Amino acid sequence: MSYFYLYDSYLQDKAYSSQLIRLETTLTDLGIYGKIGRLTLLKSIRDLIENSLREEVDTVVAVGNDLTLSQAAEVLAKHPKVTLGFIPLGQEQQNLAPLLGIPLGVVACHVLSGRLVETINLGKINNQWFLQSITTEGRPIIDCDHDYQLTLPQPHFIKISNLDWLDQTAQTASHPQRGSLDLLLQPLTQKNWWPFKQKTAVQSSLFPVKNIKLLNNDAGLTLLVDKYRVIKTPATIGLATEKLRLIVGKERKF
Amino acid sequence: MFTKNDYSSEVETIIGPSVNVEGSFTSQGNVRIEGSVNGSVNTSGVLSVGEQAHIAANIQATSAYVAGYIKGNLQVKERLELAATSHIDGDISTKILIVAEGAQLTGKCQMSNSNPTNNTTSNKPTKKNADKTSDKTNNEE
Repeated sequence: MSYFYLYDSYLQDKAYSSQLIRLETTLTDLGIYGKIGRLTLLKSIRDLIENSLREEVDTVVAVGNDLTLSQAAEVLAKHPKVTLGFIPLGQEQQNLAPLLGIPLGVVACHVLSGRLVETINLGKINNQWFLQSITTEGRPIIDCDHDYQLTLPQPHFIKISNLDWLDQTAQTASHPQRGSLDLLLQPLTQKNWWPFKQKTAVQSSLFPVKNIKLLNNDAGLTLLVDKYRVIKTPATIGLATEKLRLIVGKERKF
Repeated sequence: MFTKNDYSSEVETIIGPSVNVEGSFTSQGNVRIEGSVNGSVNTSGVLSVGEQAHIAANIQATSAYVAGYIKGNLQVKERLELAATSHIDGDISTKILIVAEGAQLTGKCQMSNSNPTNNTTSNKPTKKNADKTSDKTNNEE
C-alpha cells in the first residue's frame, strides 16, 4: 500500500504543529507512513492529488475537516481504484468524522490502519460531483424522479443529502449505499427554536429520491454544495455512476 | 425520527403538512402522509395518513392506517385501519378492516381472503372482518 497524506492549509497554524508531529510518529509506528502534500494558496487539491497518483499512490488520506474530505472525494470520483482515508484534525467543521465512525485527532490513525473499506455513492449536480449534501432555502418547485412534483406554499430549508446528518441530535443520517438521496424539507417558520423534537420531526418532510430537478420559483435560488461551492438553480441532482472507496470506522452511522 | 437500523434497512417517506405532492408517488418503504397529495400513491410498505392529511388520489398499499381525508379508491393488500377522524370518499378493498367509531366511508367496501386467526386487534372499538365481499355506502359510527 502506498499512502499520500493531504494536509489542509489551516494545519500550517502553529497550534497544530505538535499534533502533526504526533500524527507522523503514529503513522510511522503503524507502518502506514507516506508522502505528504500541503495545501496552500498556490497548490490546489486537484493538482496535489493528481500529481501523487502519477507516482502510483493507491490511498489518499485527507488530513483536515469535512471540507478537505469533500474536496478530495470530488477529485477521486474519476479514480475508482484509489481509496480515500480521513484523519480529522481540529474542532471546526467536523460533522463527517462521527458519521464515518472516525475519532477526532491522532487516534484516527488506528482506523486508517484497520483499513475497513466501504464503497459509497457520490452525488452529482449539473455534472459536478458532491459527497455530502446540497442545501438551500426558498420555495422552488421540486421535480422528483420524473414522477411527481413538490410545491411548497412557504419557504423551506431544503437539504439533499448523500452522506450527511438528517438529525444529528437523534443520530440519524443518510445511507450512502442505499442507492438514493434523501430530500429533507423543513418549513422555515418552525426552524431551530421549536423545543419539542417529536413535533419538529412531524413538521419536516423526507423523501428518498434518485433524481431531483430544482426549478426556479424564486428568482436566483442559491444552492450550497458540500458547504463550500455555490450553484444557481435550475439544477439537476442525482446519484453519480462513479463510486468512492472510503476507509471508515466500525462505529459508522450507516 | 428513526433508529439507525430502521432507517438503513427500511426507507421511510414523510410528507409533512407544509408540502403538496402532485403526480404519481411510488415508494418501496413505509410512507407517512401529513400533507396534501394529488395523483396516485403506491407503496409496498405501510401507509399512515395523518389527521391533517388531504389526499385526492387512488392509493395502493400493503397495510394502511387512515386518520385523515382521502378522495379516491383505496386498495390495501393486508390490513386497513380507519381511525375516528378518517373520512374516505371512494371505494376500499382490503383483507382485514378495522373501523373506529366516528370513521366516515362513502363508497363500496370489498373484502376478500381474510383469515380471522391472523387478527390481533380484538380490543379495538369496532372491528369488521369478513370472508366474503360486502358493500357499504354509509357513514359508520
